[in-house]
This record gives sequence, structure tokens and C-alpha cells, in this order.
Amino acid sequence: MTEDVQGVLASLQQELRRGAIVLCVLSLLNRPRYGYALVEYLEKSGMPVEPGTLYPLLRRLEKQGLLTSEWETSGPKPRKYYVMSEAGREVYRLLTSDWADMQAAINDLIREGKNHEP
Amino acid sequence: MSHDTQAGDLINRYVYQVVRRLPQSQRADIEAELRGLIDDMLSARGGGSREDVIAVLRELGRPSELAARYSGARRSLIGPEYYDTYLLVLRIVLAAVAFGMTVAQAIGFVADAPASIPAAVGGFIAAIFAALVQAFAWVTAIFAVFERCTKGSPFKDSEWDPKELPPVPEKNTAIPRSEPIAGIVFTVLLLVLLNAAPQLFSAYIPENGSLRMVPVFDLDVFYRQLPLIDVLICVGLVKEALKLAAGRYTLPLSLALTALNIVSLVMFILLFGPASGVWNPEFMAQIGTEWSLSETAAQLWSLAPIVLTGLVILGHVIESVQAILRGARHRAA
Repeated sequence: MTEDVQGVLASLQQELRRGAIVLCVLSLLNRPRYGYALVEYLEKSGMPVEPGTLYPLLRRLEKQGLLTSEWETSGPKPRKYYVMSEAGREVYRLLTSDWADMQAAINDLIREGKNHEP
Repeated sequence: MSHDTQAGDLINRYVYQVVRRLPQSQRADIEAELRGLIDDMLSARGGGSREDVIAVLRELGRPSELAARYSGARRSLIGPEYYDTYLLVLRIVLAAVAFGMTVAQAIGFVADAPASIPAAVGGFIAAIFAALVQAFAWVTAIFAVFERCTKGSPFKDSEWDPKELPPVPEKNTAIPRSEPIAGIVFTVLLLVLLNAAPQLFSAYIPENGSLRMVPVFDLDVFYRQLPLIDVLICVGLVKEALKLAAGRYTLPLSLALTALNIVSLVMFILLFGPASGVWNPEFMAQIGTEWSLSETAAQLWSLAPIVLTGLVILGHVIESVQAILRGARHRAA
């Protein structure tokens, strides 16, 4: 693969992941978690997200009303815990059903493509 | 997590560089969260040395980029909504400025010959460059303000109807943008020159090492008619603007151009025709004292307005017929 094509591939992979990250983050926030716990969990689950991307994303989702947050100061370190709001749960429910539909449709298309392979 | 003071200082500097770019109201919260994050990342690496801190900060990325992700702020001066309009206006303005400055300076050189040619050329280039930079800055600044003060571009309708898409222009019905733009540039230049310095429309006769100017116009008559002359020129501007906006010859455009041509032709004949008295009747006589021209030359000069008017009539008729033919072809297509 030439360097150009590798660059194209990298940017396509990034685009593909970008939208999916929100779904992953929301699915983990049905109970309160703090940012770095999410980073570690996502990495372990094979969906690594850079902290520099995740932290601003959490704030944006909070601003959009999908998450609520609370500072937890009783532990050894003060940490900001995020959890889905009511609106967040509703959006999450709709997004997961979209995701399932999309996944089925894409899998069908890929299968069809394989059947017609020359 | 404990870390040495040098490493702690690096963290302080990094956090400061991020939060100073963010709105005051969010600073404290983001700072606390960011410090917590750096601490967690250091714990995960199992160390708080200077090298660990450097690696962690590298992973977080440049402070400006992290801050931009936090603020989600607009990161372009002029966005895609305005970009096309911006480029169009910029081209027109830069072309007008470059052309106008060149002509103005050239006239200045003729009227007052420079002592040193290299110095004059240097000054010439510097002046044009400065004017272009100014024009660029102003246009860009105005569009940047537009971009920030308006929601959505006023140049685009909120709803667009595919049925109103203009047909693809037939060959010969498209008007290249350069044509009306060049027209606008010339017309504005003419407007400026006629209003600011009509005496420049002169014959320049060398006399005792300086230049004597014999004006083409009878300036008394000229100034009396100047408001109407300006109207005539503005009719020309409207024509070019219509062409630029339409982008192709259509029947309505052609009819509008023809109507404007009739108006400007009538005005031209009244203002500059043989009976107008705007031409300097003494022109040949004043030149003649110097160049000892014959009687025939004076007669030729008296014919000049007639010839000029004839040419202008011819030009207007050709332009109108061409526009109507092209507009009709478009209609038929």
C-alpha cells in the first residue's frame, strides 16, 4: 500500500470511529463513571479513545443535556463523575436501534458484495 | 501522585496554556478535571518523573489544540458559507485597486515627470503593494465580521427549489465572470477620473521642458453636465452588474441590457453628441499654435463628436443585437 493510500485509510478509519465513540461512551454511562475510568475501559474493550478527545466530548454531551455530572470529593482524589440524563437515555435508546439497523444493512451489503466477487 | 517540582511546574504551565484560551466561567472546572486526568495518566504509567510528565503531556497534545476541542470554537476566519462570495468580491476589489492604482500613478508620472526612474519604479511598486494589502485586509475583515455576526448566509435561501435551477448555459450564452468584472473596474475608474480630474483628459504638449495641457472638454459645460454624466456611467455599471449576477445571456437579461443601452445612448448623444458643446471648441486652435496645424485639422476636430457618436451608436446596436440573439438562443435551448 502506498503512503497516500495509507493516509486515506487512516482518515477513513477515524471518520468511521468518530460517530461510534458517542455510542460507546453513552453505553458505559448508564452508571456514573469518571473520565479516565472511561479511557481505560474503552481501551480494554478494543475501542481506544484519546483522553484529549474524550474529555472535551464528555463536556459537550453534558452541555447538550445528554449527561449530568457531579464532583466526587470523598475519595482520595476529587473526580468528576458523569452519568446519562433522562434525555441521554432516550437518545441512547434511539441511537442503539439505529446502530442495529445500520449494522444489519451494512452486513447484508458486504455479504452481497462477497457473493458477486469475480 | 507525587511528582518532583520540576515536573509539577510543567503540569502547571500546560494547564495554564489550556485554560487561558477558555471562557472564564469554565476555567476552574476544566482545570480541576484536567489535573485529575494528568494525575490518573501518570498513575497508569506508574511514575511521576519529569520524563513521565513529558510523555503524558505529549499524549494530550498541544495546549492550543486541546483548548480548541474544549471550546468547540469556530476555527476558520471565513467559512464555506461565505467563501465563494468572499473570493468573488476579493477578486473584483483587488483587480480594481491594482488597475486603478496603475493608471493613477502612470498619469501622475506623465503630468509630473519623476527625477529618478528607478526610484519612481520602486515607489510605484510599493504604492501598489500597499494598496493591495489594504484592500485585502478590508475585504477579509468585513467578511470575517459578517461570518461572526450573521446566522446562516443571507446569500443563500433557507429553502431552495430544484425547479428553479437555471439551465446549463448553452455554448455562447455563458458570460465569463471576467468580462463584467473588467467592465466594472474600467467603469469605476472612468467615474473616478471624470469626477476627480477631468482636466487629465487633455492633449499633453511639451513646452519649455514642461507639459502644457490642452483639455479635450470645455470644462465649464462639462462641470454643469457632470451629474448627468455620472448617471450615464452608473447605467453602465448597472449593465455590468446585471451580467455578473445573471452569469449567462437570457431573454430577460438581453431585453434589460437593450433597454439600458437605449437609455445610455440617448444620454450619450445629449451629453457628448455634436450638439452638446462639451468638447473644447478651441482644442485644435490651442494645439495648433504649437504644432502649426492646418485648417483641415480644425475641421477634423469638429467632426470628431459626430464620428464618436456614430461609433457609440454602432457599439450599442451591436451589443444589443448580440445580447438578444444569445438570449433567444438560450430560450430556444
